[in-house]
Amino acid sequence: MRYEKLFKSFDDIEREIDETFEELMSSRPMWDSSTGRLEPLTQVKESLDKIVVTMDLPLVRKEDIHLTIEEKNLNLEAPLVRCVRYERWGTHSDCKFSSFYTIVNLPTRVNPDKAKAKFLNGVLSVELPKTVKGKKINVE
Amino acid sequence: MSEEMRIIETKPLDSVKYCLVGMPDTGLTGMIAVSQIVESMKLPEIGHIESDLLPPVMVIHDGVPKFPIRLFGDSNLTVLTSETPIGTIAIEPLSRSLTAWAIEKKVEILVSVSGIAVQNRMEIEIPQVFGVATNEKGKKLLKEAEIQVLEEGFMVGPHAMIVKESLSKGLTNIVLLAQSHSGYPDPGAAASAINAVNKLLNLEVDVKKLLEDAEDIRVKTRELMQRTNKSFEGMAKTQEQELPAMYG
Repeated sequence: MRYEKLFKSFDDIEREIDETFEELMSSRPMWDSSTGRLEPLTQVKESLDKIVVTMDLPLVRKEDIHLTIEEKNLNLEAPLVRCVRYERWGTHSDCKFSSFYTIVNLPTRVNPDKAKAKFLNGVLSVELPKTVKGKKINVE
Repeated sequence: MSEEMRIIETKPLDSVKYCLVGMPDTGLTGMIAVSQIVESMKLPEIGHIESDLLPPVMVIHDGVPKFPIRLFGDSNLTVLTSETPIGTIAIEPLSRSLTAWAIEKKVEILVSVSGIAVQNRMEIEIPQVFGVATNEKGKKLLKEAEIQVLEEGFMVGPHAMIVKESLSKGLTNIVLLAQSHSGYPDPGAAASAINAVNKLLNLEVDVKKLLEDAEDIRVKTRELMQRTNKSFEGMAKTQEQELPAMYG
């Protein structure tokens, strides 16, 4: 029982670290001119038995999407069909971006072998079944 | 006009027939739509909004510093849009000032353009547009333009407060809500909204270029969308997707 409590508090700490990390990530620029990478807009929705990650990937072809899933991360790299240029922005005289890249921290562990992905009208949707599902409790 | 929110006309107009409003909101639909209308109709800049309640932001275009909330147009059509999300604290004063200004300028119809999030947006080819009107005149106009009335639901954000102020001032306000992505820029929804505005105000704004440029617009408005999504956290935006509690 004591160990269960200990593990639960570890889970809480892990979740808190993830949330802080997410907050830090959301306040930094969504681009890196040194690598020519853009970060896609991403939404993560959690339900009882799965996590659904969606991403807006304009200027991307389905066959170019490179997606890998680990237990707690989803990694995406996708080249753009053509470079996006910002000819005059801030101190950059010519800024070019050629791909989307992101690592999404998942709120809980998932089973990568059972993941499903679809790409429709430039939006990627990835369904990730959770590894540990909730324990059913009989209601008296 | 609210003292907290000042509408500054750099090219003053005696009266305005139609006023269109598109702020950063769901799918950036309203902002993309009205920006396209400004560009397509080559509407000149005629003013801006100043307030201590707005974030300390100025934008620079062609080397010229600009206020992020600006007015474009002429005495037939004036468009209000913003390049930065409107924070919760500024929404009500902005709505009060805008509706007072609309009354002063004898605006016949104040049209707010926005998006309404739908869960299956990925599967929708041409988003539908729904309308909400503050009075019978507005309802009649929606009917004539064959725009379906939104029968039940919640509105949250600048367009909701403009409705509230219009109701109390007896102003004809129509809200056009195009089915949109909840968190992604949606030029497709903006195109549907423009088609609805065309029918409502007898305009002829072509959406072909907007649809051709849709993917580039989605790339280039990611950060504004991200910031807008963040601004929703302070205004219970998710309530728009809740089922209303109804009795009887």
